[in-house]
Amino acid sequence: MKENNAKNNNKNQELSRELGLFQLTMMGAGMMIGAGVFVATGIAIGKAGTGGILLAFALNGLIAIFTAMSFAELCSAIPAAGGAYAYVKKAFGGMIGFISGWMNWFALAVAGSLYAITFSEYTLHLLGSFEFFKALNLNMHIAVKILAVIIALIFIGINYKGVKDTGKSSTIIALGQTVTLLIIGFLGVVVAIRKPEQLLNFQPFLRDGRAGVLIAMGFTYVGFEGFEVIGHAGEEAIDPKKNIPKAILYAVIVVVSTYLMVGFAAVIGIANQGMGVAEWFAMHGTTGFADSIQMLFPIGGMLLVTLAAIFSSTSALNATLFSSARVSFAISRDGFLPPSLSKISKRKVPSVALFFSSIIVLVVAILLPVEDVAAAADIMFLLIFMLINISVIRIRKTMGDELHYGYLMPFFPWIPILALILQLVLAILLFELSPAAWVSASLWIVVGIIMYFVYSKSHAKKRAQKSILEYSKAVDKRKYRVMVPIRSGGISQVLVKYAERLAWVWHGELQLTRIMTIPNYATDDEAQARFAPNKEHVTKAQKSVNMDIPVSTIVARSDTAARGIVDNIRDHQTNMVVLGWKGYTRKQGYEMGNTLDRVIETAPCNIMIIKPGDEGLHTGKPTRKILMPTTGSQHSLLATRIAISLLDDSEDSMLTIFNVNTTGEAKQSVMRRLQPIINEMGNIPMKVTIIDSQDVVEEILKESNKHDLLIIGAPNEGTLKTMLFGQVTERIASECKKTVILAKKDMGVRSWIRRWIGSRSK
Amino acid sequence: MLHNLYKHLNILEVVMTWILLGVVALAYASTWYFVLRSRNIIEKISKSEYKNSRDIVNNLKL
Repeated sequence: MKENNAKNNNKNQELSRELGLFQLTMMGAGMMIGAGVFVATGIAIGKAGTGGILLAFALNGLIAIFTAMSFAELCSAIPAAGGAYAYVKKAFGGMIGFISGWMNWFALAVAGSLYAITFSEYTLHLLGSFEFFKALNLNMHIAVKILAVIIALIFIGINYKGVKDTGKSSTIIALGQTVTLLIIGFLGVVVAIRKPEQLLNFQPFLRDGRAGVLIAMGFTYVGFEGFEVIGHAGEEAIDPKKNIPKAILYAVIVVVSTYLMVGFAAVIGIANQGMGVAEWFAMHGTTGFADSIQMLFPIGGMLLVTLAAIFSSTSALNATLFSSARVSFAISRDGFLPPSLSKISKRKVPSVALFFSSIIVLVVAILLPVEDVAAAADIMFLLIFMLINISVIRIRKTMGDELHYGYLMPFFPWIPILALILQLVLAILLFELSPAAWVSASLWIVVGIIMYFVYSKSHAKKRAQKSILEYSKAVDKRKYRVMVPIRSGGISQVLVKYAERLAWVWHGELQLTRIMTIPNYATDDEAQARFAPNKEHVTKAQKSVNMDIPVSTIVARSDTAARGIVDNIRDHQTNMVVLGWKGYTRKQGYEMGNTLDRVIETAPCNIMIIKPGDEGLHTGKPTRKILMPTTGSQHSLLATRIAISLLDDSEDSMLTIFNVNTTGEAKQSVMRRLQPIINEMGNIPMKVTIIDSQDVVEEILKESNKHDLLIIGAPNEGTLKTMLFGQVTERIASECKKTVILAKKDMGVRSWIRRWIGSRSK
Repeated sequence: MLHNLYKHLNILEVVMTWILLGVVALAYASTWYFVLRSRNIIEKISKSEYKNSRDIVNNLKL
């Protein structure tokens, strides 16, 4: 019965959702087609040549689908209304998160300028066909600018009043744009069949070689962004986990197909101009596209394109103004920009954010020529999408185990890496087309960086510190810090025993950290309400410390234990983290457990994992016999240091370095590998045992019976390969009845790439 | 029809044009490939009990 009710409730909820797959797809396609294609196509043919435009569109489509896959993956897992900024912030936080939002703001505002100019160019072009307008003899350059400012002001006013964008109307507009362009494309095919000689317009295929195509790709890239708007509709979509990623990908294929047909039609339309077709487009610039369609379809072609361009540019201008104001509003709400930007007017509009966005739109529209405006928008979107492609890798690596995905891209992480490289190349090449665009984009970024260090860093830090509910610093601060994350069970007492011993021997400090797992959206009051019982765990652990060492205690909140631990390791410059393992995990797909796997993979410090057994320090008995199986890996040096620290100071104490030789390697050669470990021992009583056998696990388990404790260093690893302690080590640790300690050294710079994509910075 | 067009061009231009058209077709087909493959992945995940990235990667062939 309960189940039936739940089902009915879900059904009711779904019924209240309005946007289906088709509407979502059209919403994205409409935003992508925007107005970029009307302005950029003509100029791009002039740069790349007649066939070059097809090549540019097809290759841009491929790059767009790569980024769309990244977006689809992120949208399916994290329903965030902030678009690209929200994801980069989620992945990186800190300066990169802020700069991405800062760039996103500028990109949207500059795209708004481009759409205002497009409207202006096309409207004046249409009016130019009337005699009365020609008689006015206006300076077209100034007229374009004035009309662009007027239309921008009109839409700024409309946005101030607070217009609600409804899904249905935007679907109709988008459908209108797409169908119009597809009709144009279809006419191109008809003309090509009826007049095949027009196909010669595609000779020569390229104008300026490969460079021309690449520049055209960068220049038309603005027409391939906009699919991210689908992600904003998460709450209104039917079955969003399935439909949103699908719609993002479908929108890209609809747009690529449309552009290819339109590009083909634009080239086919040109006839008898007495010059090369590409040269003709280069001469006609932004409105060359409309003129070529007029030739293709003399009865109404011009009107069709012009109306479509006017329609597209106004709806795109409205949407970009709306979005850019909301991005700056979101950055301000996060504490990165002054709070006045997140003020909301009586009409529920972020009026101050809209005001500043409007200034950018107007200044860019007035100051820069249209080519530079388009190139500036292209550069910004390319840079933001590069960050998205890095974020998708980082989010899957750091939070993938906690998120519920509706879609995961194949060939991960190679697709986002490839997209990243291609986007970087395109962005750099745009310098050739428009140094002014790069200058303005760079200036904006530099201002953003200054803003971050002058204002955002300190203000955002104040907010971040709220994640720590209590931090009691040790009186005597030491350079070496050993952290024990305190859990509810008895294992924490065991871990403290080992950690205090290490801190004492190494003249370090002990950090006892309790992570309260509480959702991100929980308020500070809710967190405070749960503080007391959590603090109790830390107090209990602190009381169990017997040695005379400085102890600091931390109670922090985080949405997951693993992220909380890693964040605190970074924030408190921890050198070693001590974790406990029960010897198995019930969670499928994990080697040691959900939290352990995540901390081992991403913690920026040395790691020591303890699986308590019958013997060992925690039992109160002295540790006199320690077994250290090793192949001589770099992590074994850390294992050696730990072993020396734990070994009891008595006459019969002994540390055994144990090697199982499975390959028949000469003993001298094995000894050479073990030499750095032997050197590390100094005067510690030790012996080296090398055994020829094929069964490593069995031999070590057998040998462990003669010892109190086992310490194993992690095996060597590749830079990108994700690997915890290796299958053999984990089997030994799991099956051994004695206490087992696993050690993994922080690899510092060597694992920099993995660390960077695999951990979360503040 | 094509023959008439070709007589205006030299062989190198014809070959280059076809190669570049091939690149266009390949890029377009690849875009379709990724869309269709992704659609299958979305369907597969929605029908399965696996939701987090590790479970999906380990248990579903992407």
